Amino acid sequence: MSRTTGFVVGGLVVALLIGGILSSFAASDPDGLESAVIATQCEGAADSDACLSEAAGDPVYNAAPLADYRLTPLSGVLGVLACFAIGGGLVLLLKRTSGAAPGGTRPEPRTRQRVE
Amino acid sequence: MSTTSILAMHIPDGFMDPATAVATGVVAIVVVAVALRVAKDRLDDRQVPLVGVTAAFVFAVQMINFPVGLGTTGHLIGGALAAILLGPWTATLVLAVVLLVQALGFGDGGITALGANITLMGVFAGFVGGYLYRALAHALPRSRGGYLTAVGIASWVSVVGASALCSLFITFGGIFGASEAVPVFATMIGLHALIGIGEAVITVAAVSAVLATRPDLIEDHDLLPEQADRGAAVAA
Repeated sequence: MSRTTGFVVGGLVVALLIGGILSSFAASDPDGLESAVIATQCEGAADSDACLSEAAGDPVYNAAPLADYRLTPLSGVLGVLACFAIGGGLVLLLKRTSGAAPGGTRPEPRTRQRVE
Repeated sequence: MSTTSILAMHIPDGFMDPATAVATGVVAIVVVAVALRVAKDRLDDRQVPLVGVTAAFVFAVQMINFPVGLGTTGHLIGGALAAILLGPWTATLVLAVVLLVQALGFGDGGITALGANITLMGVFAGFVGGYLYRALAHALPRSRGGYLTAVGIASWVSVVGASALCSLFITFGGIFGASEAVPVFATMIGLHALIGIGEAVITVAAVSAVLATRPDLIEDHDLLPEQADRGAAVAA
């Protein structure tokens, strides 16, 4: 296994552990944006959650398959894998179709190049 | 518990005027289009796998809301982290992928607010975080401590700055109106000054891990601490 493959596998395993297991321990209080809306727009509202939901409005797109399962280990794993596949696949596709020589278009490794 | 308060919420559909949604959508489309071009032409082949790993890691860590006091939580944005590892353009791509997966798959962040969320967490956090990191890393001593200080400060500023820009979107450009601007800005910036500390801690930890294992994968080798830079040169 090349060093890069090892790094990628290691990084992906860390992400899967965080998204699949550690995510169960995430705090559930409102986040910064929600808190700011509650503290300003919903100040004095009897039910701040309801007020927040009303301000957020109905989702325009409401077909998200995992909308109700955000905190399950499976949804974390699926999200991590989707991001890995789409992010990595997109860039791989771009590089493959660039028509450049293998190794990219850089004339030499950037190690010694001064940027700026 | 209502669905909106279960987890990290990016900007939902209802917070912004249509004009703001369209304008930020255009910004996001233009920057992502350029970023695709930049990735195609300039991204180092060795960094290609890092793009997928960074997107996966940012998605995972964004799930982890941590308490910052005052009954409030925060989570990583990851724009600065991605920019430090891959440069600001590719950081925008990474965050666009993460935010797209969250919006389409998990209902997190409104689909009409996707442009604003990409503009804030990808474009703004990526470019402000990335360029501030470069400037600070140049200015500070080229030691491990100096380097990681630059990483931490840039991450913190990227979050606080993004919260100010978000406030602009939802007040002057959104449903809360100009009359609510002062309290919204004050609360958003105040809370994100705390959340930004978490961003800095996570980003420093993640960059330290890459620095310890594969420093050659990090953009801008000339910014790295001297020892890591030598390691990167050997590995390259």
